[in-house]
Amino acid sequence: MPSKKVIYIFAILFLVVVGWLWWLGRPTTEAVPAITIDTASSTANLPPTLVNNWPAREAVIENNLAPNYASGTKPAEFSFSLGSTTPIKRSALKIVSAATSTVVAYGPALATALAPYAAPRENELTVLGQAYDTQDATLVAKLKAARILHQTVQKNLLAVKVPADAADLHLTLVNDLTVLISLAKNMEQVSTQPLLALQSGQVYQLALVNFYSQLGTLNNYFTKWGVTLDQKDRINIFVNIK
Amino acid sequence: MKEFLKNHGRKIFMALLLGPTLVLAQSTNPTSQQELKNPYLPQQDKAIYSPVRNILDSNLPNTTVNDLFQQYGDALSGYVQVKTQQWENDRISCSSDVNDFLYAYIKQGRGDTPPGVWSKLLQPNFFQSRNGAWNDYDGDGKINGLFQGGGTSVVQSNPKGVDSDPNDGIVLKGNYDDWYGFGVPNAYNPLVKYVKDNFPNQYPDGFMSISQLMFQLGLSLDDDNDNDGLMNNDPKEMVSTAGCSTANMNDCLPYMFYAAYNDADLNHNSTGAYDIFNRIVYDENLVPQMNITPNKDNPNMNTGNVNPFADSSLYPTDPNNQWGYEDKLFNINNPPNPGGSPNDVLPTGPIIQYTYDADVSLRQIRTFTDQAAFNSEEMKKIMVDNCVRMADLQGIMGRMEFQTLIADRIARDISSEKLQNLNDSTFAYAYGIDDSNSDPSKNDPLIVANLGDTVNKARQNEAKKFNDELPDSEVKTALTINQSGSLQGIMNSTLSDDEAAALADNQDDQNTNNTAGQSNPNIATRISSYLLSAVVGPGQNTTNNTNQQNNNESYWQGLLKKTGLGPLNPYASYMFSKDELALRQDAAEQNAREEALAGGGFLPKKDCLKKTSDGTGCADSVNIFSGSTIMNSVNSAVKSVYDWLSGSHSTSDLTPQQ
Repeated sequence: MPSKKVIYIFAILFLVVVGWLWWLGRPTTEAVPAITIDTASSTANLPPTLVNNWPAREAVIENNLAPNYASGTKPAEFSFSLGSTTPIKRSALKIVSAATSTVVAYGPALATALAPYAAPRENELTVLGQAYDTQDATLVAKLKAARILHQTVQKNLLAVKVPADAADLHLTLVNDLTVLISLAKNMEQVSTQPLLALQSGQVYQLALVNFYSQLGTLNNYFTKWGVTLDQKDRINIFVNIK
Repeated sequence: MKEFLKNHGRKIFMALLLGPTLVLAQSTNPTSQQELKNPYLPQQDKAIYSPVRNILDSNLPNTTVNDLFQQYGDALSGYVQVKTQQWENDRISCSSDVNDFLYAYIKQGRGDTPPGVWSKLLQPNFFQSRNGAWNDYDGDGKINGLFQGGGTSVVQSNPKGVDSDPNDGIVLKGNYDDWYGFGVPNAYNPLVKYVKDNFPNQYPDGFMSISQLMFQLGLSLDDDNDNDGLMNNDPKEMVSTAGCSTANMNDCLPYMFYAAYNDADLNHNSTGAYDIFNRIVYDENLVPQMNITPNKDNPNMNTGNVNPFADSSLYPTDPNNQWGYEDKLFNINNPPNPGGSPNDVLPTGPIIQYTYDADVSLRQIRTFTDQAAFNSEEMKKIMVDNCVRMADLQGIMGRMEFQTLIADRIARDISSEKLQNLNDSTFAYAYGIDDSNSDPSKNDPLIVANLGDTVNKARQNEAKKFNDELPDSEVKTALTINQSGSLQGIMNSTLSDDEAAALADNQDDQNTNNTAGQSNPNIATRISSYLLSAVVGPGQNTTNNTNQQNNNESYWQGLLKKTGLGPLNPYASYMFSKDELALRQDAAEQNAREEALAGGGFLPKKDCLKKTSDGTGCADSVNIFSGSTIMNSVNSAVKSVYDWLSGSHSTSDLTPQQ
């Protein structure tokens, strides 16, 4: 017969082991996910115009897309490569020798070419969204106006005499507009090719930022030459990326 | 045992008591390896998710963003390409991953040396310069790519070739940190000059890892002066410019690195790499160590967020004076606006200011684009709203596709492994769309739209098969045509006139008897009577009416023939064949029902090995796919389409067929 001491020891050991096992088997606290993704998918965050006109808008869109499906063709989509867009070549520029006189002349000419951007206008992606939501033709007209605006400025820029050392910067700006024009054309088709339009709009927004950034770069070019333009030769650019 | 426990029992007890506790305590030690936090990463930023961020997280603090681009250039560019392709495949561009990466990527390529990555993304040749003048500063016709580490395809794809001319690119050495060259031609990079001047033997090219540079500069990572050797992970200290004050300059550079890191973090308000350059070259505490004399005439030098090196026009044109940038970039003698607000400094070009419909009316364009484009909640909201619309459109398109060309869409667009095992039109006729195939088996719908039709078709096919087995005869004709005239012909050829008349008379008798209220002769009695007469011979009949006897004999002969009990005759053959056909058709029907049941409404896909003689049925066939296989394939395909439409698909399910 084991002594009481041995019995106590085993009893304590038993309790310790049971307690240990209980502790091991305890329910673990649910880990808080370290990663949360903001999907912005809650209804409260939906664009109001999208929600308000839901049935009517969907009916219109379905009606517009019906010919596609009836003919077995897919709705048009944005091609990321923009393969159909041909960049304007350097040879299209009117390049002059780089000299103080040409740089001085280049500044006002550039300001004049860019002058159409001085007028405030709505952000094109915002307009596109509203056009999609409401299927309002007047909004599509605004998109078309934006495209024409870009085309006008691009035409203006091609007419400017560009100092040789600014040619690359100038050409980059011109082709930034080539991209914007191409995208704007797609966005104009929001009624008949909504997928192409919305995808292009997403790209347009980023391309627009790139364009404004390039404007800033070109603006800094004049510092190299120590040219400070007169106030009358300078313009205000309205940035509409929001 | 007792002695052992007496001597060691207490130790055993303590060991049992404490052992598990120690083990558990060790496993939950917050300082264990798994729990170590990235000291460069404020924990609230963990809420941000992107693949880029994951890469950054896993590599910091040993490297920086541009270093990562060097080391992972291939992977990252590949990621962009994959995402680009996926973008096209997804038909939707609001994947958070894509947008996150575009933001980060654009920010990386931001500035103009090299041109922004955006221009590359939009080019047919992904990484080709838009104007063919990508970063060719020295005009040698060769261009350094954005990535050169590891012999990337990016550089190799450069049509103008690859060189390591330090006058060109910003990234020249794959294994060195280019952070301090970010956006700056290396020939004009003050840090390159510093390294080259001070470590000509160790780093003759002027490239040094950022950690080495920090060590050489005597800079500490200890941001909060607690001398723990680590940068403080207190978010407030991490993001506060106070941590980069003049008084605590040694903590400034780590902050800058952190800011550089956050340059790829669109959810952080860091001013980014340009700010770092400004601080390095402008801070008098740090600059002297690097023998740099900032030229405050440079309008970008003290404008806070503007990269003072971004404008290549500021660099000297004399190639023999590549280190002569002090004249243009750094000249401390004539600051244009000492102590002024960054916003007060304007470029001298034709653009006087930038305005937009917000609370900021005058900004440097790059400051503006930095903040508005990459930190503006408004701009993000616009893009997110657009994504919501694209998702909405996806739903509309999905419904239309299902309503109209779902089967064709599946056949055309989906090429999962299982579907590849089926031919393209399988689902077309599975849905009963394609019935033009000359192979009758291919016209069999694989989906049970109407069980009755399916059963009838099985019975008809079985009849055709059975008909092929019969020799040409009036019986076959009767079975095929199944008209009363043909049956009458069989009857006529089976019964003699007497037998037919007797059967007809008997029918009259029956009618008469019925009319008279007499009981109808029991057929068993009649058969027994006939058998008796056969045994006892003619005349030993049970009746005394000779005419009736003769008539009875004809009647019974006819009846035997008609019922097939007599000698083989056409009518009996007809009856036997009809019974056999019924048995086979019943079996075919049962089989069809079981197949439909087993396939959950999908019938097996069969190949017809032998057509029936009329060409409209299948005499012999073999099952290619069971109904359940087709059911699973269709379910998988439909699920893929649904997943695809809901944006939660696996790309492996959706590789478009070429």
